[in-house]
Amino acid sequence: MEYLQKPVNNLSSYSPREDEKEKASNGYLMSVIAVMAGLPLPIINLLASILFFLLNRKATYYVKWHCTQALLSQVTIFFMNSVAFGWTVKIITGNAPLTNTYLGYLFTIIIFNVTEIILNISAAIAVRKGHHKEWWFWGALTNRLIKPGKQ
Amino acid sequence: MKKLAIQFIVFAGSFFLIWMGLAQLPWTKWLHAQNFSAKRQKAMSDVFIKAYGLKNRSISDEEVKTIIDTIKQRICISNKIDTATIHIYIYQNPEINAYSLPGGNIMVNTALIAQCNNPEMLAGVIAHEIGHIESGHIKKRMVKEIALSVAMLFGGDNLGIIKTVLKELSSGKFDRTQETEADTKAVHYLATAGVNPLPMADFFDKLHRLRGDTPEIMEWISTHPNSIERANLIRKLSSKQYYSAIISDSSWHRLQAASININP
Repeated sequence: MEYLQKPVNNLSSYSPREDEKEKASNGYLMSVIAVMAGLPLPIINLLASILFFLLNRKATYYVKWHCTQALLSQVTIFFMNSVAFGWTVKIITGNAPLTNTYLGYLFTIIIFNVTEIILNISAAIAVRKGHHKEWWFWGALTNRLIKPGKQ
Repeated sequence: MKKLAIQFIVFAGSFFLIWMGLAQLPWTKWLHAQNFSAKRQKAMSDVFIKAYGLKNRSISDEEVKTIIDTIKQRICISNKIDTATIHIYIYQNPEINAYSLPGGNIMVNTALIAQCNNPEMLAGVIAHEIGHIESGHIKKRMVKEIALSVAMLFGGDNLGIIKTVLKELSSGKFDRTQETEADTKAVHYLATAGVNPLPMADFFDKLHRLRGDTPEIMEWISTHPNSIERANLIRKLSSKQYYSAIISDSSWHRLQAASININP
């Protein structure tokens, strides 16, 4: 469903409608649920976020912006987790040694994954309440990619 | 754009800093992971032995086991290969086949032993499979088997998945480079052990001759292409030197009798 809306220049001061809040919030929740369902396969959460993003590509600027932010964070985590997955398979099959470097990487991505889950949950709650949540780096990247829509 | 680039650099930099910082900690010591490889090999062996029903279908005759162990010891010890890492099973199966499985397991079907004219032919087949194991071919193939990765991660003891992967692994589809490498290693192992490698070439010739007559028993050769070329390579690599018998005639007759009785 496509919505007509007034051009949005500042998301911080924008008051989203109830359905916008719900959709934008679901974008983050989708990531969290998919991460939990998809681990340790790194592709599941990315696919879920892409699907949700595509379903909402014609949505309002507010919804699209938050879906994109959620997707971009998933892409970053996807690359990190893919390396860990490939590395783990190599170790399991005896093609790589189990080293402190590998375990250091594993614990690093655990930190990043947990942080990302916490960020997603907090963003889902904040966005559901109508507050704009712009993450460091991913928020700036989203601003570069998603421009305010025209009426 | 500049702000975004700075944020990206800080983000990537913090990731690497955390990684490098955590990598300095002695995780392997804390997690007692030094024995991980040995434990993994043992676990893998157990899974495959269980999946294949090896305890029920391998020859349990102690005398036969001792004869096979003699061949293994002769090849391994001379070539400084840890004998504890190689496990040879004589598998009751009417198909002429021998293959290596993860965990250093080598399966030799009774039908293959029945087709060997002398113990050196059998030693050649075993040396070839040891060559695959020592070259890491099994591990390389396993990496390609995504199904196995999933099986190991989600259900290490899921026999249904393991059996599907086993079917693929036991087909012995190594590529030509890997076959040549295993053949070359086999000739080297045999020569070092003072075992004549030429019967190995004769075995390839024999299988090639049999191909048209008994297609159903030619699995081993059909999955190992260019047998004539390979026989020629083995002859080319073999050097003229003094070779001694790998096992006594009586032991060989005992082994063959045990195999033929199962596959008359």
